[in-house]
Parts: sequence; structure tokens; C-alpha cells
Amino acid sequence: MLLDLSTVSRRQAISLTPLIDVVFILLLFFMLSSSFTQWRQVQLSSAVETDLIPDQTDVRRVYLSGEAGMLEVGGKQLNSADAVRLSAWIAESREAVYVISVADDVTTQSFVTVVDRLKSAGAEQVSLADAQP
Amino acid sequence: MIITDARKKSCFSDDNLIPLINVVFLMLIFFMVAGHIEKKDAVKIRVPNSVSEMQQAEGVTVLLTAYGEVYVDGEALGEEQMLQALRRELQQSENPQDLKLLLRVSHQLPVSQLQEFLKLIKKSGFLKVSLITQHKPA
Repeated sequence: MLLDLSTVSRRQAISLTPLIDVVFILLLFFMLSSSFTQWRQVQLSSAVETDLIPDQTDVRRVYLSGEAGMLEVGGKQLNSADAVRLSAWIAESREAVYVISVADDVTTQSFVTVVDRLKSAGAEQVSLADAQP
Repeated sequence: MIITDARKKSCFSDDNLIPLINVVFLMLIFFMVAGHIEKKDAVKIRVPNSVSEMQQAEGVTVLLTAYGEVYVDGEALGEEQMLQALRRELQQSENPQDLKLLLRVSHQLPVSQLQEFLKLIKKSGFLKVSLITQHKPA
């Protein structure tokens, strides 16, 4: 004889197992397809050599010679990692357009790093040059 | 005589699933709110890191690998095909002057090659070109 001693007759609740199945599938989907990468953008304006530059625009040419971030500025060497010297040089003319020319072997990462450093030092307009100096 | 106890039965009931469901729901909400679903690139490339604060805007995305291969909308294209595709995008755009071209280039790509590519893009008529980077706090 089988006696069931549970006297309280509860209403049959909805089973949670199908619910958790669906929630697990949703969780897997969002875990696998979600991305937490923060994308940013660097404005590129490829400056072409032209005679149409207005006289009042100050153009300062910077030559990036290699991966180390060394800049050639008016015949002088300037390390772009040296924030103090770079800021002092940029403070002379913040409104100027800084046109970066690069050596053949320089990678995009090095170029973007130098653009970041120039902007952090206070440069308002930084551009990529087409022509080698 | 077999007497079953209701307390024993409860260990197999759904009530024990509730803490599990709580945790799973919390994880689900976290991934839904904090993450964002985005289109996968045709080829996996590593874009340059930067500390730029400019958020990525909407626009036409062109992918350029370190070997100079070009992908537009996940499709490998030659130079002429790419120009045609970009011109088509400009024609379909309501405001072609404000349409941005977002370049996803490999961090190892030589800048000289990027410059050549920019010259090519100019022929398509795009006025605003940006380089997509990955945010890396200084």
C-alpha cells in the first residue's frame, strides 16, 4: 500500500525546466556573439602637395623616420615619446596643421601612435601627407 | 507498507532550480546589456590601438589587410570593383557629402601602402575618411 502523506494539495506550478532550457540557449547566444571591444576612429585627411594653401595657415611638417617614434622637425630630432619636449614644441603653434610624412617601412600602428601623441600634446589638426619631404 | 515522505520528494522538485535560474538570468542580463552584437569581419585583422576619444560613427566600412587585400561588405574585391562599389554607395546615399568611409586596416600595414590606397579612394569621391582603431587607455 502506498501512502502519500503530503496533505496540502498545491496547484501544479509551471515546470521550470523548459524555462531554464530557453534561458541557457539565450545566454549561450549572447555570450558567443557579444563583443566588448571599444572601437574608436582617427580622422584621416590625406594632404596632397598643392599651391592652394592660404598664407595664413601655418603648416608644420613632421617626418616620422621609423618604428621608434623619432620625428624629424626642421632638421632636428624629436622623440615623440618625450611628452614635455613635444608639448613645448606644439605650444609654439597649436592652430597649425601638422602634416606627417613617413618613411617607407613605418607601419600604421606607429603612425597612429604618433598622431595620438601629437593630439595629446595639444595639436588640433594632424594630417597624413602624400609626398615625401 | 511504503510510506513516502513529501520532504524527500522535494529534493527532485523545480524549487532547487531557482538559485540556478537567478544566476543564469543575471548573466544573461549582463551579456545583453553590456555587450553588443556586431558583424564579423571577412578576415580577422588586428586594427591599430589608439587612445583617441572619437567614437566610431556610421559609414561604409572597407577592410584592408596587411597583404593589400580589400574587402567591402565581406566580399574580396579588386581595385576597379571596389571603386564601383564605393560609387554605388555614394549614389544610394541621401547625403553623399557626409557619408563616411571607415577604414579597418591591419596594424602592420605600411603607411606608404595606406597612402596609395587613400589616393585610390579619392577617385571614388568620398570626402570623409576615418581609420578605425581599438581603444586602448594610456
